[in-house]
Amino acid sequence: MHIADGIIATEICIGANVATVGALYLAGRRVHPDEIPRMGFMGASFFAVSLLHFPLAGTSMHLALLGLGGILLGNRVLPALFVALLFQALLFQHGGFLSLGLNTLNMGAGAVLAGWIWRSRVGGEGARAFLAGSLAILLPAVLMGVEFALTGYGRGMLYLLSIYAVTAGVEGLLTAVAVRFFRQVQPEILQPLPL
Amino acid sequence: MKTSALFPVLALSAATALLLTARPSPASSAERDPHDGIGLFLTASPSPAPLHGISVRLTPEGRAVVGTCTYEGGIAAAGAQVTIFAPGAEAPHHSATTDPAGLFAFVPGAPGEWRVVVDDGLGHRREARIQVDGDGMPMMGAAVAETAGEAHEAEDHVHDDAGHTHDAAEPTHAPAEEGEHTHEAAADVAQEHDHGSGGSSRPWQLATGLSLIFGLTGFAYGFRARRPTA
Repeated sequence: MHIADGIIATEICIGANVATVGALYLAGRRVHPDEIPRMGFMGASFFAVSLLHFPLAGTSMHLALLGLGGILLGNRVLPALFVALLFQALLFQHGGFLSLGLNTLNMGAGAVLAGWIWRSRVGGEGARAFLAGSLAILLPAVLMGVEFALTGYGRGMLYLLSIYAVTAGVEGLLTAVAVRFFRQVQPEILQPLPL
Repeated sequence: MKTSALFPVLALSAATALLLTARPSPASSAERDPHDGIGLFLTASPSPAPLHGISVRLTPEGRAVVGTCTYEGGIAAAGAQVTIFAPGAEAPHHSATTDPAGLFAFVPGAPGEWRVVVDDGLGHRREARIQVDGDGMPMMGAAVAETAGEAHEAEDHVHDDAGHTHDAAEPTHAPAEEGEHTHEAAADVAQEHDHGSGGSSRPWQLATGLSLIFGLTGFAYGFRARRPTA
């Protein structure tokens, strides 16, 4: 899910970086001080959970907790995700620097979608959390497929989605379990943050 | 936790992060990795074993070069696309695909620096280089692995598989410098450091990153709390 440097055309990366600056401003301009610790802890979770990887079909996949981030932070997930991606690129060479904005927008779109699904209050909590967690992975995969297609890179959308479908299922389950846990121990944390 | 107590706690994390980035390398001074400690953070130089991305090790085997492509934890990068570039060439010399064990091989035909790009089609891309002498023999200890976006660093430094740097101004001395190492010893050193990504181990990098994030959170909270909210 982290796109390395040198894959996507430089023009697209620069455009995405500019768009990311705007998105970060829009997402963070109304942040209340009391929301910042939650953003920090979620950013740390994004950073640390990428260490949990597993082999899949000749490649290596990792968890991201994008669905949970979207549920707990809503639009505020973008700055937290950006910081985590920055330090992943800096310390682990996981993802690139030129593609930092693109990665932020790809994964941020999935996390924000998860937050919208959660706010919709449609259906049961467990099913909603599973859907949010799964789509938070599938949407970035679709966006990656489009970007790869525009650059003439990769093995096609079908291959990409087949790989990420497994990760999406695991993430959906994890998100549902986490939401159930928070409902029991600290239900107020599941209240959507103001837009 | 009271919000008034949160700021100094998280700001303390920032100080911890600075201490962690400034810690001395556990290796001997002769093998000190300049990219460890504060250098790791300030220079943002690549470690030879990236997290999650593809790690490529080029090993001379007589006239051939054997490439081993793995992910973190030794997971073989099977079916990855390998593109090989001859010295000074922009167009690919030829292509290959890694086998189920993540291996590929080629025989470099001309002296100079051969470039190999490994890509798994999922956004993981890794570039590696190897020097070939005038007799067409790949040079031991002169394999370089770097990320695609940081190729400019190879102009100043050459990284070997163990994360140690050598002066690229003297590439012809690389075999002499590594002369005391047998091929097996070089592979052993590379293997020993590979799981720990060179000089900095993964737990230290994780602790550094978490401390930096918590520290940034503390500073952000402190500045935001001082501003009147709408």
